[in-house]
Amino acid sequence: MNEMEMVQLSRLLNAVVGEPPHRVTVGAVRRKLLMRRLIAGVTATAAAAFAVSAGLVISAHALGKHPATNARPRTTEPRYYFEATRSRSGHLRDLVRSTATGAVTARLHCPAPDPNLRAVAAASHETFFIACHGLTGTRIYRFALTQSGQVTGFGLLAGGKLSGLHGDSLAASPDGAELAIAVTPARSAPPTDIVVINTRTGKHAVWHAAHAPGGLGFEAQDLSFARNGRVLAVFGWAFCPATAPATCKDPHQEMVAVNHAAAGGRLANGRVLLTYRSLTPAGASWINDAFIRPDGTTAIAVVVFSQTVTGRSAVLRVSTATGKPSVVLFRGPGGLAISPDPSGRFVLAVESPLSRSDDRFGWINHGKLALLGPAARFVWVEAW
Amino acid sequence: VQADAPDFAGFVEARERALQRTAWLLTGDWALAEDLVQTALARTWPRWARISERDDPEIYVRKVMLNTWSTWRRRRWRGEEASVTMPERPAPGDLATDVAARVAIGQVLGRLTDRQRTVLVLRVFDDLSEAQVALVLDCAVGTVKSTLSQALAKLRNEPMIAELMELETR
Repeated sequence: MNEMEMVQLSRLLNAVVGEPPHRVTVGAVRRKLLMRRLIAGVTATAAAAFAVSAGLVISAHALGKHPATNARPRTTEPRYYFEATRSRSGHLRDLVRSTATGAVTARLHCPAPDPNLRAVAAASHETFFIACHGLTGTRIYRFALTQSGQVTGFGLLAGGKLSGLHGDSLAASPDGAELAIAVTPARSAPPTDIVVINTRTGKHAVWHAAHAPGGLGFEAQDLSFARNGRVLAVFGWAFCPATAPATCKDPHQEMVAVNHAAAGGRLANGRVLLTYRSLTPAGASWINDAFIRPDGTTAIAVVVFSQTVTGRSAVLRVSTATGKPSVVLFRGPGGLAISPDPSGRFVLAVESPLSRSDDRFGWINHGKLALLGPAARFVWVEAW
Repeated sequence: VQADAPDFAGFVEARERALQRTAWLLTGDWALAEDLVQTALARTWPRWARISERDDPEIYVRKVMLNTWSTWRRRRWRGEEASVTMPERPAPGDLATDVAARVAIGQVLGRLTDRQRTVLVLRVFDDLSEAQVALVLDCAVGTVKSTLSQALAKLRNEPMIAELMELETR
C-alpha cells in the first residue's frame, strides 16, 4: 500500500468513524475523578486516626482464630468449568465444559428480564452462582452440575433480587453459604457497597465500600472469602480523598479484610492484608487481580511487570502475614487475569497479550498454562 | 487538581473529540469510547502538572488510554446491555451506506490483531509518526514498521476496503 493509498485509507477511516454523539467535557472528567474523592472526604476527618497506620501490613492472625474451611479438600483439578466467551463471529456464549475434553456439557442463558450475564462464582460440590443484569437491576441465580456436567437446580437465589443495582464482582464462600457481590446504583460507576447474602435465608448484610482504612477512597475490584466464609477480602484501588493532605501518596492498590462477613459495616474498619507497595518490586505497574485463599494465610495475586503496553505478568502466592510474595506460580506475557477454584489450589488464567487477537485460556499446572477448550476470541468470565 | 485546571481544561476541550474517535476505532462502541476517554483523562489529571511539562502530553494520554483499554478488554464486560433509550441518534445522509461502511470497517479491523489495529489507528488515523507510535507502544520503530506492514498487507486482501476507498475518492 503506497502513500496515496495510505491517505485514502485515512480518509476512509475518518469518514467511517463520524462524530462522537457526546462531548467529553472537563466537567465530566472532573465528576469522574472527584466523585469518589468527595465521598471519601466526608469521613476523612473521622478516619484520621487510621491514617497513621495506612499501608501497614497487618498479620492475618489478627483476623481471629477461626477453623479452617470445611470444604472438601480437592486433590485434582475440577472436572468442569463455566465460561462466558465471545467467538470470532461475535456470538456470546455461556457454557459448561469438561476440563478433560473441552466438550460442552451444558449451555446457559440469563432469564428475562435481566438477560446479561455479568459475573460468576463457584462454590464446592460444583455449585455455581451467576449474576444477571438488565433493566430491572441484578438477579443472582444458583445451579449445580450433575456427574455428567449437566445443569441441575437452576433457580433464583433467595435474596438474589437486587432491584435497581448494578452488580459486578461476585464471590462465594467455599461451602456456598455466603455470597458477596459488589454493587452500585449507577451504571459505569465504581461499586459503593458490597452485599453479602446468606444463601440459605436470603438475608442481606451490607458493607459500605467507598472507603478504605486510613481515610482513603476505595474502588472494589475482586472479592473473596476465607475462614469458612467468616472473612471477606476486598481487593481494589485506594486513592487520596479531596481533603487529604499533600503528603497523601498517589493512588495504590490494597486488599482489605473484614471479619464476620455476614455482619456488614464499613470496609474502612477492616484490616489491610497486602498493598501494592508491599507486594511489588520496583518496576511493577499494577496488580491485576488478588484473592485470599480459604485458609486466610495466603493470597494469590497477578502482578503486571512492565511500563509497556504488551507487558509481562506473574501470578504470585503472597503471605497475608507479611504482605510479601513467597512463590511465583506462573509467568506469562501481557495482561493476565485469574480465578481460583473454591479450594484456592487450582487457578484458571486468561492471557490477553496485545500481540494476539485471541485470549489463551487455561489453568496453571506446575508453572505452565494447561489450555482449556477450543480457542475463543475473548473469555469474559470464568469459574470452576 | 484545581491549580492546573485551566491548562487541563484546554487540553480536554481541544483534544477530546480526536481521542474519542481513536477510542471508537479501538472499541467499536461510542459509549465505551466516551467512558475510555473519560477514564484516561481522569487518570492523567492528578499528574497533569508533570505530564504537561513533556514535549507532547497527548502521547502520554494516548498511552494511558491504550493501557486502560488493554486492561478493560479483560476486566470490563462489553456484552449487550439492556437500555431504555436508543444509544445511537439518527444520522443525516445515506444512512444505509454509512452503516454498511461502518460495519465493514469494523469487521476488517476486527480481523487484525490488537497490536496491528493499534498501530494502524495511531499511524494512519491519528497521523502519528512512526517514532511517536513507538513511544506510545514502548517498542522499537522497526516493530512499528513491520506491524504496520502486516496490517496493511491484510487490508490489501480485503476487497471491501478497496471498494470503499474507491467510493471515498469519488
